Amino acid sequence: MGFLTTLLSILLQITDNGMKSLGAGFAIGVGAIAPALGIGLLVSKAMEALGRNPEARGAIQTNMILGLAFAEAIGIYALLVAIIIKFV
Amino acid sequence: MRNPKTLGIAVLVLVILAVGFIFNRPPQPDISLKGDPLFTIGPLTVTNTLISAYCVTIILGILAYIGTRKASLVPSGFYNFVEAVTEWMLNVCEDIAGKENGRRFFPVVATIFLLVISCNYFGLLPINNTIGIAHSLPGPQHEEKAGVTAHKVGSIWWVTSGSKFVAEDKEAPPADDTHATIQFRPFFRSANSDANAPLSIAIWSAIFVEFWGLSTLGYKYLGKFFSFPPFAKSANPINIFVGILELLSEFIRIISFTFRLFGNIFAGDVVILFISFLAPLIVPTVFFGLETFVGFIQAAVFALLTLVFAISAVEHHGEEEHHEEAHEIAGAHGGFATQ
Repeated sequence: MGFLTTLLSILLQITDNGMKSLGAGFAIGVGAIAPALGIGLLVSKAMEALGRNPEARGAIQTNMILGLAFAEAIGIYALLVAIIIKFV
Repeated sequence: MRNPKTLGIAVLVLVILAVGFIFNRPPQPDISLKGDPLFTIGPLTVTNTLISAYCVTIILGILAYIGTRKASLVPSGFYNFVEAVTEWMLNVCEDIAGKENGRRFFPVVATIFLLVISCNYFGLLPINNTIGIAHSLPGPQHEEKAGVTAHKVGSIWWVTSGSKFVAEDKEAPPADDTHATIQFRPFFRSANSDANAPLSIAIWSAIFVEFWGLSTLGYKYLGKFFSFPPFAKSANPINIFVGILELLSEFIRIISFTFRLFGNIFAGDVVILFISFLAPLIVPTVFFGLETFVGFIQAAVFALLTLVFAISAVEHHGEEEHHEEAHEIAGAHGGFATQ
């Protein structure tokens, strides 16, 4: 109980700018986990397909870049939100 | 590493880093999400991103005019380059979309690619974010305004390192002959780092995709969104629901295109400004390389996605696997990477 009141008193003392920085940090920190995992899965499957069929290199590369754009965009949204929180 | 030449180069790099850090630091960046307004022409506010975009358009127009003057069977030099680029883009379009659809979509897709990549590369030149005009800071306001300190050396004002955040209810210190606290507005800034430019390109891409769908399939194209007679054959409740989702996804696609390009280029701009502030003179080279790569990839992705959505728009409705079909077509002839 004493721990909770201490925690609450610390949390209530965070200033406006401090909250902003925390928000920005969380936005990009948590928001970059899923796109990174997604891109890793995507590229690993592409490598697997390339290993099975090296002749289809062009097709695999094109479609991989296409899928990469969609996954990357989510990470960019998170970065954008962090920048907007911090600087605007 | 014992090789004296390597050691010499390493020491030189460190010396340059130290010199840059001590004497030549850029100031802490002042990030603004919108383009900085420079002047007004009537009701139109001209921002620095607008100036950059117009410069790019004029340069592209001049290059296109010069590049098509001498059409010969065996081109040389600059004409060869123009023909190589055009042929590459046409091959990509035809590989993915087939012979006649590829030709039909080629002008818009190629324009989007050339415009976006030129804007991105123009935004990496050294004139961006460096030379600009000073705006005096307003008086006490209720929000924080970032200002930078400027010294006058000779007859040019240099923005020195260190920036001042003018807190609320306080005025900036008064300016005298050689010192001032100003708000710095550059003359040039990467055109796609303003959300309006990617938004406008995305809106035009959506307009063209709808136009191609309507001109190929007629009013039956609307059966994709409203699947009841007279647009489609049957009125299946599931298809009606899917149609509403498709309609929504058309608009969401505009937002996604915009933020993909805007986020990449704006974040790249911010990264370059900050890394120049933190570790000047050597380290930004790596990030300029990254931005070059990102600029090309984002341009290619924008154009390719427009192409893929156009293909799925002109297909006859009834095949539920639109995107798989488009991706299969994308794979048929080896894609754009086999050069």
